[in-house]
Amino acid sequence: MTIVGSILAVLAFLLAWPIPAALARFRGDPVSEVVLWQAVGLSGGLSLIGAALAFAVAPGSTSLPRGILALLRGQSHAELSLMAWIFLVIALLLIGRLLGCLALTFYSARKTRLRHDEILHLLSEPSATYPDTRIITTDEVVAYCLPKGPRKGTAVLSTGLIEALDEKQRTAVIAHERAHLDFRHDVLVIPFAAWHRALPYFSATAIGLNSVNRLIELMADDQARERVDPQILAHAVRSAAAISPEHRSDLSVQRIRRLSQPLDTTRVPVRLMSIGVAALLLLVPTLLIFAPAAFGI
Amino acid sequence: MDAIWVHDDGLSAAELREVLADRELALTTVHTVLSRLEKKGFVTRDRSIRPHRYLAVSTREDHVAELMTEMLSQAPDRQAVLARFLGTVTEADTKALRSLLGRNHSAQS
Repeated sequence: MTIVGSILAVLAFLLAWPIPAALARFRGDPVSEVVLWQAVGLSGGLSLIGAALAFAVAPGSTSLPRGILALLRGQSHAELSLMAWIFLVIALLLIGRLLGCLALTFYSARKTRLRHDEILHLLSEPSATYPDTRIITTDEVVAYCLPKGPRKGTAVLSTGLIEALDEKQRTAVIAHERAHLDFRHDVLVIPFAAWHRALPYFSATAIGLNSVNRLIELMADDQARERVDPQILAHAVRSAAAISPEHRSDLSVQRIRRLSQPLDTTRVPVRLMSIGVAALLLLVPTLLIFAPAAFGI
Repeated sequence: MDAIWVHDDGLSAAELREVLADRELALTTVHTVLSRLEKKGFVTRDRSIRPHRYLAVSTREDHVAELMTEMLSQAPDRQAVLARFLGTVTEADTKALRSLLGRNHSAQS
């Protein structure tokens, strides 16, 4: 088991630093990247907890579940050294913290959203032209969306944005926002917000959260292409950037560039490959924990 | 709520009903709505005089600013809530925005 523990610890380290750093530099298909990020997050958490558990129940058993079972039955209870106890406590604290943060992030996201929705309803008017869209009076050039359950939710446009863009561009912006809502991009972000909350000093969690936030914007652009002309959406991004300094970022530049080109034709094989890599990333720690015999350990 | 925002010195339920006369609301309905708004922290009730007068807690602009800051802020739990349209807002941008809005909303949350 110490071998398993060591391998899991190395894996956890790789998934905590070099792999996220490399993945953040990768510029390809956003869907593939999000899939890989989810796998890195899950696999990293699994390896970290698995490593601590493996060190804790180090002697006496071939696989972790059997070791834990034996521990629960009290069979190897007496064999646990002080070191093992420390690792066991670390493992349990980690599990508690990760799951706790996940629940907390989910709950606070919901609470903030409901409160935002409440104030929004007092401040904004429903749009006469666009369905499920509200107009808020402010000079800020903003458009955003407020998710509310599957396939529901509200797109919000500011009067500043309405003045800045023409009608076609506004329709394109709404298509982008609806893509966020229809494909539940808010759910994709939650685990990363939770990991970042759980381990804020871990640079990987910040990189992961930033990357996924960036990727969902690209994904929404791609999905909006089915409804609107990408050139018009690109113009909308450019107009917003011209007026408002908040919109002048690398991401806007990247979005305009991507929207001006046709979608990459190799994206389907790239996606399949990423799903394969993601499955492998998840399989390695899972097998190490549950069936180390598969690796001949 | 718009009517309350317009009246800086507050107004009573009966006065509010007059303002909204075209909707032909019953006084009890106005009372119900006002006490709900009070419970949610949008209005306060001045109990020193009768009939009680209702005042807006924050101005309309403050509420808009609060929503915009919340939407644009980078705090992780907030990012989970709202998908933004454009740009990753940096911490510096958020600070600039806050000072532009003239309020530090992070202190409240």
